[in-house]
Amino acid sequence: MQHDYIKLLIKSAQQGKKNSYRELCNINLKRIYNLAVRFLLNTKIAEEITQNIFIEAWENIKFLRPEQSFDIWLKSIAIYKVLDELRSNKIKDKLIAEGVISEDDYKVECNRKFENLILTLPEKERIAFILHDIEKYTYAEIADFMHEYNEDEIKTIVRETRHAIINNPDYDQ
Amino acid sequence: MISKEEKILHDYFDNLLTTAEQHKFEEDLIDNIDLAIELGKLKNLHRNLRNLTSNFEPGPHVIDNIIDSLLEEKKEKKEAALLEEKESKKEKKARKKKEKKKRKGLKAKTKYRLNQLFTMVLLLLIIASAIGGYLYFQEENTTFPWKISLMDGNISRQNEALLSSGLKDAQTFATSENEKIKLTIPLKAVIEIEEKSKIRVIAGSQQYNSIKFISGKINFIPFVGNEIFDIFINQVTLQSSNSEFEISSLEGKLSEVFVKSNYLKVLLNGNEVKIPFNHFFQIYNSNEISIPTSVNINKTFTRLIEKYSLTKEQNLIPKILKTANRYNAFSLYYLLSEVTPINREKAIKKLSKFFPLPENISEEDILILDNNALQKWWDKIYLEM
Repeated sequence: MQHDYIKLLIKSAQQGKKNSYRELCNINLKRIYNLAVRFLLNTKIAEEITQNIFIEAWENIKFLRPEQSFDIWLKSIAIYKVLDELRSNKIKDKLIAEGVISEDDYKVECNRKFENLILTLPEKERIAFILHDIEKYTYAEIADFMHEYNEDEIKTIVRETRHAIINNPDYDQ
Repeated sequence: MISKEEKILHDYFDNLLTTAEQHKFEEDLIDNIDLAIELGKLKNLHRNLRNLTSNFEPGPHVIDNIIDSLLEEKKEKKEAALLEEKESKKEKKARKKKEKKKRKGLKAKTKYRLNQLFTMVLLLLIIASAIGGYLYFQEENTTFPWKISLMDGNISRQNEALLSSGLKDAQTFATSENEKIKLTIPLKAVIEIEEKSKIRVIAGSQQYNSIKFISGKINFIPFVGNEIFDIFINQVTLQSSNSEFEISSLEGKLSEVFVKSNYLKVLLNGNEVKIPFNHFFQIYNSNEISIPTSVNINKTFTRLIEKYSLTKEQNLIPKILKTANRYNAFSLYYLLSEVTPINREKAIKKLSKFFPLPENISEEDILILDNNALQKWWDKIYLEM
């Protein structure tokens, strides 16, 4: 029996074993993909960027120190990549050019009311809210990610967003 | 726009207030029902967020695409490496030609080597004196000799002399047929050694003691205040600070361990596992342990767990989950890292019914086998079991 299954997979992946990395991808895929969908609001773009995230993680896994948490490290790669995509739209433009998606193809919906509430938030509010209240980053860390805003501005955005969700008629208390 | 009162509410909720400010806020809450209601809404929101599942399913091709990209990348790297090797061979040849012309300055090199040698000798002398001092300290710090006494049966001829002299370090000790011995490590523990058993003494000091278990049956009983005591079995270490346990085996075969009190730490392959009281487990292949099972009578469950392996996962997991009861909680806990993610989700749900997840720990944390989350859940199950 092995406790710390993930540590073993990481060690094995760092030695170049792709099967171990595949298992690490399996374990983390849904979480990272959902993060990407919530940020980008498009499943095709989210799929493409999720692939890029895991490829970049593979290239850098040898630098992961034993005391570092793999999922926190992976999540930070994911956030930088999705924020970069939001700013540059590189993948979106590429997929439009290839005919995979269209310009208007931007509404992703879910059959869960609460999830939809989050998805329909405006971009700035959605990102700050997800990073703080779901992904548990501090206001200071979020200000690093969203460098257009300072810490106090991020605080105000998150708090007003909480207020907006709680008072939304579609929100079940 | 957020009012000042709401700002303090959110600061309190985000743990950004000082202790004095928190107390003031909590006092204000008692008289301010509206504020209390708002705080309740925030807590509710966070509860909903904690239970927010991953609602979107990625396509099955995503993982394949990732792995395919890695394989493509490997091919390109190999080709680049071959090219680099060819170029470096050429550079090496050119360098060798230059060096042949440059053979002067040997004397400088020799001086440097002599300096190096002198430094090494000095270092060796320092290390030797440090070791000498340490060995002297060790002698003052030892728990040897370890006393033996007869518990039951007859003392064998080979062990008769040891009744007065006791055991010392690096000594192998064996009991014969019809000979049951009590081994006392002063102020640390007692080890009851059954007939036809064999151990080897490894270390004995005020801070740390250890033996190697070779075969037979022993019962380890720690004294209160015992510090770490290690028992080595092949490549596995059992570490007790306050846990009574029993080991039995035949030489070269499976060893079985039964934890009788508190919990026992098991160290293997650089990892640490804690096995709670009233649980059995086996050590096999010299560096693996089985999923621990409880002494609680649920023979069906125990049989299923004993048969379990990753190749039999699809058949056995539904039956294991169906037959599990509260006393099998730890077996379910250890099963989490032995199953694929789909079945892990089911195992988490089953285990949560007996022992709900601690606050601030989500199902997702356990699903990804987050160390902290797993540890917190273990502690909760242990305290409530």
